[in-house]
Amino acid sequence: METRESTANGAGIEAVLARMDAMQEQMAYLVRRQQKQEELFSELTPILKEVLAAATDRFGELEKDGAIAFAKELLVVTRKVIQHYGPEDVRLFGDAVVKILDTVRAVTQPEVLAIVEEAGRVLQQADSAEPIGIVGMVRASRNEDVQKGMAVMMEMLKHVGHAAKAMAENKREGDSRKERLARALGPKKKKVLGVERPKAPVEKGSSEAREWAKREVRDMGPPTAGCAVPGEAPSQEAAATEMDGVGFTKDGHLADPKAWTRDLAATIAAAQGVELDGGKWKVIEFARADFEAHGASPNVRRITMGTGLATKELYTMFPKAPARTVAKIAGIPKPAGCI
Amino acid sequence: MKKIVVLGAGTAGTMMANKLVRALPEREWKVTVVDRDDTHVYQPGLLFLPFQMYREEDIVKPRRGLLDKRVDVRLTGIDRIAPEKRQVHMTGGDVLAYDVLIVATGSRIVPEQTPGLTGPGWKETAFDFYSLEGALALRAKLDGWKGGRLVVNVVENPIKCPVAPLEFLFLAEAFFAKKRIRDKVEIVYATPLEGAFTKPKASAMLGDLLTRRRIGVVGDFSVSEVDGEHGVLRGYDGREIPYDLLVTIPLHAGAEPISKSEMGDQGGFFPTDKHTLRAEKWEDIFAIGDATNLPSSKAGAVAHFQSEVLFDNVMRHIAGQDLHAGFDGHANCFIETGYGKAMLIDFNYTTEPLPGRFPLPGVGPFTLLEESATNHWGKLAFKWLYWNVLLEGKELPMDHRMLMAGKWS
Repeated sequence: METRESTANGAGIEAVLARMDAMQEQMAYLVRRQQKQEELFSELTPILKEVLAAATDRFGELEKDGAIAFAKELLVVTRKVIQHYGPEDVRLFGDAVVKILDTVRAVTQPEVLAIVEEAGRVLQQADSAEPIGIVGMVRASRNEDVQKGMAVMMEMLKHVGHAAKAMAENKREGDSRKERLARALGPKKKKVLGVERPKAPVEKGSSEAREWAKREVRDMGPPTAGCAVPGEAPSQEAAATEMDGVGFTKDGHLADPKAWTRDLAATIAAAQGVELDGGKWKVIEFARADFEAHGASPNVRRITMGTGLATKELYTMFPKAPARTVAKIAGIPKPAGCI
Repeated sequence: MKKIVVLGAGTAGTMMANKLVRALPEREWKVTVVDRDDTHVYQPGLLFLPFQMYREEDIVKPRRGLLDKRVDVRLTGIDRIAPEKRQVHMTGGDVLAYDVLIVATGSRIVPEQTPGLTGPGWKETAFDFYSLEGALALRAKLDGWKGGRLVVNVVENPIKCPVAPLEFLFLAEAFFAKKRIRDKVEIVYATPLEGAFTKPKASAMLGDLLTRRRIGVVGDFSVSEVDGEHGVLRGYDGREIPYDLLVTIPLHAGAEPISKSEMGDQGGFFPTDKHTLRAEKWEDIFAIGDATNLPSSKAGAVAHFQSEVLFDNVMRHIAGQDLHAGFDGHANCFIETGYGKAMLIDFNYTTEPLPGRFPLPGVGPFTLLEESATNHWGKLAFKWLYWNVLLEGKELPMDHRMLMAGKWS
């Protein structure tokens, strides 16, 4: 009896404990979320203060620069525009746009284009046309094609006449509709947003996407330095000067590392006041190999670690800015940072 | 039960562990993360500490809270990796076996490798801001500093967040101006590169930024030793730069266990395939973030872009499929320029930073290679995103590949 009761109790307690555990987990989650929100709030408060202060300063500056006065003037102009142009003007403007679009569409119909082409051909032969006189004209007017052509022309002239009349009626003092329209439809400056990279196809896993991914990897080319190690100026600077048909950047580095030869190295070294001997050649060869392997020109530390030379020895060999001098002689770009 | 072991619970390791534990069936896969301590530092925030723009508690959180509950977290040092046995040895003597190993051990600063740097004057007149202790010590120093000659020196690349030295210069200049001691401070930037900006577009657009802020630049400077007693930086070429206050960006190295296991290059960085992020020598080891020897930037944004490619490739590896060579070296970062403004740059292995708009082509709201207040607010708001979205391994509304749209050259 006693045991049964305790088992039942035990099971009950376990169930309760399990629920408590679950609740505790929920509570912990809620507390964590609360903390995060509080943290966000306390984080954003000083930032918002700064934003407000900056905005106030900015308004102060604007006031000083007379920008606010300018804005007021702008308001006056806007009001004038509203006074002179009612909603009716806007509606008319819209109608005009629709008409223009209709006309464009009508004109670009294949049939119309065919007629224009035909007309063009006829006009080209206009030289061969001979005056036909009144009698000739009357005779010609009996021709069915000519009659049709005349009808089309009359119809067109009628439309032009209507339009001209409407324009004359709508003309207001001070400003012509034509001018207003021209202003409204005036060419807008196109914003240049930079060069777009080709977008990857949206469907993941498609063969097209895989192809694209592969291409991207190839496109990356040899990795050059980001920031951490000195590296190649990624956009190979165009040669600023030429010496015996070989291009150099404005910093005096070989524009194309592939154009390097040992003879060229000796020439560059001489210009730097360096005479190349066995030990120095070892440094130059290391720098070239390191550049080829890592796509980045080595700095002093890398050169000493790679060649086993002491920094002092390196400075004896290349007394002034050794990393840069070595890069020059080795025909590789100057060691660079990330910015 | 198969095992994925992630070494390091920094930005990259945390993202990977969270992504994988959610994607893999719990009954078949166990995801373990190893780190030596429970302190996750929001490293971009270190830059703001010295200028009292952030407090320590803003940028530090326990690692455990950032990892999914299903992740097995081991807080212990790593001694070495035994790749042929597929095992990781802990400093305590424990051994972890793995089926897939992800190296996310990051990089560390090694100021002791520059002669004299950690000698007399270290943390008195010479500081770093790449560690929490360093940034806090520098903050205390700057708080009471009356002025003098401030020299910011990059010992040698690679370094984490390669634009941070520039940001430090800009923020320092604005900080001194606000404190009304700008006229008493001379600011000098000594860099091993030719100058502050080396990429054609960036130099053209930003070349005069330092001049306008009256910051001097000493280029091609390789520091051979620091004389802390006299406050002088000596270069290998004999040049000397005196300082009253030195802010150094010390040499960087990979994590010790990588070198100890003889798996790294000479700098201790892990040789990794540039596009698939798999170890060059081992089929079942992958690497991500600052730990790699990749020529991409050592920055959180890069780790984030890499995490998407790596997650895909770990899943492919598990399914026995070919890897996807998807990583293009994409990096982007905000560059604080002081006075409530910032710039933004976006680039990859082959494309230099270009001007334009980001992330929506033509619209923005952020401006590339150009100062704006929106960029600055973006950088500040990113902290929340980092803690609450990025580390959880959630998707950001952005492709990991770089887009040319919206950039103009």
